[in-house]
Amino acid sequence: MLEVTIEHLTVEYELLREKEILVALWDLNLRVLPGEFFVIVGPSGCGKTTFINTIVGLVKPTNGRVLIGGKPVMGPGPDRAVVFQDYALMPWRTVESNIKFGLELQGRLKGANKIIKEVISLVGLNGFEECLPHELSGGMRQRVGLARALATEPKVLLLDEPFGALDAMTREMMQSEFEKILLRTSQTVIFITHSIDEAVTLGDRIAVMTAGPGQVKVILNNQIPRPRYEIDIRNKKIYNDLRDEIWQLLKDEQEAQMSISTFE
Amino acid sequence: MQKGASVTDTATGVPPLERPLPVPTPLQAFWGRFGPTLITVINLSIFVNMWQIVQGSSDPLVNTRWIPAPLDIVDAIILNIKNGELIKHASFSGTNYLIGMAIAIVAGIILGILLGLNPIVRSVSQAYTWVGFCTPTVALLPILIILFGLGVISKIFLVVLMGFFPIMINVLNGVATIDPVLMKAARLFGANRGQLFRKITLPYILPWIMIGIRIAAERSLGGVIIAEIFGSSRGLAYMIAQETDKFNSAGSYTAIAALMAFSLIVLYGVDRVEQKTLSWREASKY
Ligand SMILES: Nc1ncnc2c1ncn2[C@@H]1O[C@H](COP(=O)(O)OP(=O)(O)OP(=O)(O)O)[C@@H](O)[C@H]1O
Ligand SMILES: [Mg+2]
Repeated sequence: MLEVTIEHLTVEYELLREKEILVALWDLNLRVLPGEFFVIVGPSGCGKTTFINTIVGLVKPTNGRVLIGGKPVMGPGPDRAVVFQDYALMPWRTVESNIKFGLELQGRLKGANKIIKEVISLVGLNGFEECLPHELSGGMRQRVGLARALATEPKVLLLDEPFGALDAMTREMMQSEFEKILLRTSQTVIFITHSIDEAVTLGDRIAVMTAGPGQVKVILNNQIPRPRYEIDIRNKKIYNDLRDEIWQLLKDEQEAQMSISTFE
Repeated sequence: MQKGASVTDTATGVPPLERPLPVPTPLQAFWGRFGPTLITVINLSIFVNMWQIVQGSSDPLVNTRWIPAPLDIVDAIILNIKNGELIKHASFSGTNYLIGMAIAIVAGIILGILLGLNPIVRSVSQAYTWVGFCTPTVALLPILIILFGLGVISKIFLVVLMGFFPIMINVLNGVATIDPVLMKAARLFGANRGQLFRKITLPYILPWIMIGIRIAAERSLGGVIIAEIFGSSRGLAYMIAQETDKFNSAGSYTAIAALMAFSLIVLYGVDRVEQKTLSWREASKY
């Protein structure tokens, strides 16, 4: 459990072909509390993936900095792990061996088998240890992705639209599953999505981003009691009010963006 | 579950049909397991028997100088094993082949990776690799003989040339298609350059390596034979030429059989490895 602090974060990309500069994130300030389930929603292209890549240390900030537990990020490190939208599993490795991947790279083979057994039953993949990724459904593949990240026991877990490639039914099921699993572990979670339902179902706090260049527009507190996977929250007023609020905020963003592009 | 919905599926009161699992009879089970092998064995033995009857008679259909009877070939094989001729020639060809293939495999993999990793280097080198691949390498043999003489080196060099390009081109293509997401994932889990290579690049391109080796294995075997026919005092192809000169067709067929066996062993080996490495790649297409 570590705090994630983002101070005046600006990320620019140089577009080599057009000799232009694209501002992906602009002076973004944010503090994610230790152990919090923090969700970020934003329109497509607003810089969500860029944000994750910066926290993880793959993209260098043009300005500002990212602090994990007070220490500035210098590059990838074992205190952070990522779950990817397209799973990013090694197709030649079995479920078990895929989950071992992170530990293997970090040279933490002592006690690895015990940890792997634990996370396998945590994500409910018992009996599938020897399967190859192509033998699994999308939902199960993402469980492998989650297990691989959890196995390295990160202090901060980052998920970049982890259910983006799933169908609506599986997606809902996986939301409940992930809430259940992540409530039993203790890391700080930063969860990116463009689904409003997902944000409301999962987040302790929800940041709504502006259309690019990305900034935090509003942070909303989610008062819906946990655990949410057991109750049918979708018919509750509190759920729908929050949902409508986020919807309105995102709609304003989209309209603002469209009016800019029509004036240009 | 929602209140308004109810279970309405098979509300006809008719119980669903029992569908028994088909249990194979012992005969079916046996046939399923050994049938294909049995057919091959029967098929081949009919063919060989007919061959023996036609060519082994006192009045053969074709002059036995061109096509000897199977039993005569067996006799010749036994004779050539006993007097050490077969081993002598086979080991010569085999050594040249294996050394050449080993060099082609190592060089093909290393160059394929080096050229494949960098997109600019890849596109610059592509033209040359295709020129290399399309050159009828055999035609270079006279030049190789002038350069290296009639000894072992020119022969091995031809094997290398024939095997190198298919391996390198396949490796190059494999490297070019590595999924960047896998690289990203590995880097995020802290992989250094060496680990990226060992844990992503190498396992990823293994199927391509095997495809390259399969093509190379067949081409290079041709290379061994041609190099020996051009000029040699040893080797299986030399043995064929020599025995044919002596009108001893059974002797030539002995060498041909040895070459077939050799090719079969190589292809079987490649097949075994390929099946293992290809399983994930073939299946993940669907
Ligand atoms: N490597 C890069 N080089 C140049 N521009 C980039 C790069 N990565 C992203 N961008 C640009 O930065 C902006 C933000 O991209 P980003 O992928 O972070 O958005 P996103 O919010 O994750 O979008 P989505 O919801 O579609 O995944 C986009 O305009 C994108 O084109
Ligand atoms: Mg994205």
